[in-house]
Amino acid sequence: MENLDIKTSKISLKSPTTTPMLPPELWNQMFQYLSPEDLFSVSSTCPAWNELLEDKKTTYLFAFVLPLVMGHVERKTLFYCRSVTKASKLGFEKTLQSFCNSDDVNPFRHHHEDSISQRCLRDVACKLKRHYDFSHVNFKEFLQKVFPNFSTTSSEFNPFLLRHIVLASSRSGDVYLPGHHLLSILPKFGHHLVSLDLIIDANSIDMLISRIVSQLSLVPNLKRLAIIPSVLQGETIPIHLARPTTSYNFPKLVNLVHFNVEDVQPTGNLYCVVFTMLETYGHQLTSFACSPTFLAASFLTVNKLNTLFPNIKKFQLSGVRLDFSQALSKLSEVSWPLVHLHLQMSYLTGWKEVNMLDAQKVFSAVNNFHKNLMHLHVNCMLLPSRANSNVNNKTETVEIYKPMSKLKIIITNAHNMERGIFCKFLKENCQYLHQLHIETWDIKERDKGRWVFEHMRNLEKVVLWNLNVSSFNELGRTHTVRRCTRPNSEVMADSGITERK
Amino acid sequence: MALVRVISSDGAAFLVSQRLAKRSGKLKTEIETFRKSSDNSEAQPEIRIVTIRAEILRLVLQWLQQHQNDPVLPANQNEQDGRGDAEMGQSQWDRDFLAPMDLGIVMELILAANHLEVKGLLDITCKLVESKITGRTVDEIRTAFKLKSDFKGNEEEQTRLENRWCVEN
Repeated sequence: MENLDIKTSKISLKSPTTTPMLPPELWNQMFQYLSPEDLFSVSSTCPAWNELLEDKKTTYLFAFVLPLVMGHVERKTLFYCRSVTKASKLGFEKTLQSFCNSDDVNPFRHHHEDSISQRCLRDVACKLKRHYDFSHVNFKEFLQKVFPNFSTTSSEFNPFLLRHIVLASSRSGDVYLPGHHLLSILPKFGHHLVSLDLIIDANSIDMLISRIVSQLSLVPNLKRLAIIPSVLQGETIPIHLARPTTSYNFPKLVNLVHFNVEDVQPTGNLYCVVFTMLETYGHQLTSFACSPTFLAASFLTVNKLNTLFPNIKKFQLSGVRLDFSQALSKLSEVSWPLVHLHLQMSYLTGWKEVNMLDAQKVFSAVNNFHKNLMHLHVNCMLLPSRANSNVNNKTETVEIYKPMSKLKIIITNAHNMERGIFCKFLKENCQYLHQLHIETWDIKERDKGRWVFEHMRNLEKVVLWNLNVSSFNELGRTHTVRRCTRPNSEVMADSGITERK
Repeated sequence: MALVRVISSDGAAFLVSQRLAKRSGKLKTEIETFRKSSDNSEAQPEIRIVTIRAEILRLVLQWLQQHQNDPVLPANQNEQDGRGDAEMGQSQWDRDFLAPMDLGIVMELILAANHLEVKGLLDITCKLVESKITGRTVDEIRTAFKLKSDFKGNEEEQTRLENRWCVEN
């Protein structure tokens, strides 16, 4: 026990000894006109002012505190908080919107969230998304129930709580989204939207394209756009490889930085549309997500990729194994300033080898971004390449990888932690790593990450994530099972690994 | 014993052991930054916290001192292990610590704990404020926090409609 820890050495009071001296009433009168931010600064300035504001404290602090407390509040009451004052409404909405429209393409973003309350909020945001998904929710009903007077409401008003909606376009016209309703509401309120998912009937793209162009021109402030193809039952998308020829006149979306086309295949006319979009918006994108098949398309040459995405910082490749290796070869040659790389392979059931990727291909792609990469997410299972069985090649492999000087976070799966080639990469190339996250289906494997502490000096923690949880949604599927904390000489009283069962 | 001077917005200086200060994420970073920028490794770091006044800073440091020997807990608990934040629970000391405080002070503590990255304190203070919110009606929340509705025209009704849309189904 330390006795001398807290010692007030000096309290210098800067009391409002002003010239002329003002009586408290006058100060109070002036404070009326100040914003909550200013009141907070005033009360922090000196004890006298603080005392004057003492009984108003809960009033002006409420909107500040609300975002921090929100994650603890039960869902229904949470919405009551929104109705309390204008400021609380604003704080509430901003907090949820930032969760919902996070600028990350990475679904495992919440890996790095450190509190349960944040996770609860994210959960609320996710549930809310469904209420604004107009591919399932009847837009007419939404208008009637929520927005009965939309024609007289000022355009300042934002009818889309999360600033995110999902729209579906199909040739038959969508039952949930009668076009005339949308056209009556988007011109007036579209500027509030920052995030849009467009579900597009892949086979009727020619009929729908003008509608899509006009929809996009109604949402000028869009930051995030996802294109999701849909196919009517019994139909297939033609497999002929489309060559982008027609160009479409897409509106300027100056704020658009995130584009997600992970379900779009490089066939059919939808691809042409997406490709034209990339030519229009590619230079401004900072994050992009697509499938390996998309990237592997032959006319997307390395040069083309470089010109299409000069500013890309985050990239996600997700899909089945097919075409992964071609896509990876391209990744190992492009000159993107990538800081965040996410390789996500969907697993096919059956023979295990089917789901394996050549480790060398992955590492040479990763190595290509060694200068800037800070965050690496590899959930594919890695396999030493066959050539590697040759001893000469093995030594060669090690030499070509450069140290990842900025890499701070790696997320991978328990399988890779057993692979010598991956461990070697960790030990030899990732000396600056701070966090290692391991996803596993079997919590019993929890000790797998232990050994790394001995080899990696800068590692602060290893987090195990249990994929094996009952509700498989984006939020429920990850849990910290254990965090091993590296004994830190000064901070922690207890040495060794902090364990909690 | 290495010390650090922490100065509040209204100019009060607290001399704290670095070991204690480093249990605040924010102070830890500040001390490390100071170390890196200073040539003299013996120099005493001085950290000014412009948003926290003396009374609140003192409370935060008091709390830290009380809990200085707690293990640094993993921030994220596995719910399956049944060790959610809630179960960490408050000690009797925490309850006694918070009991005499006005709601306003607790709210200031939340902001301070958040700014200084003191997770345990943030949790218990948030819980306390949360208990003033959960299960209450809009009017009850307004009374508890001395708030007045400043909605104009049909804004409040509109918000209510939206809330209903969001909570239903």
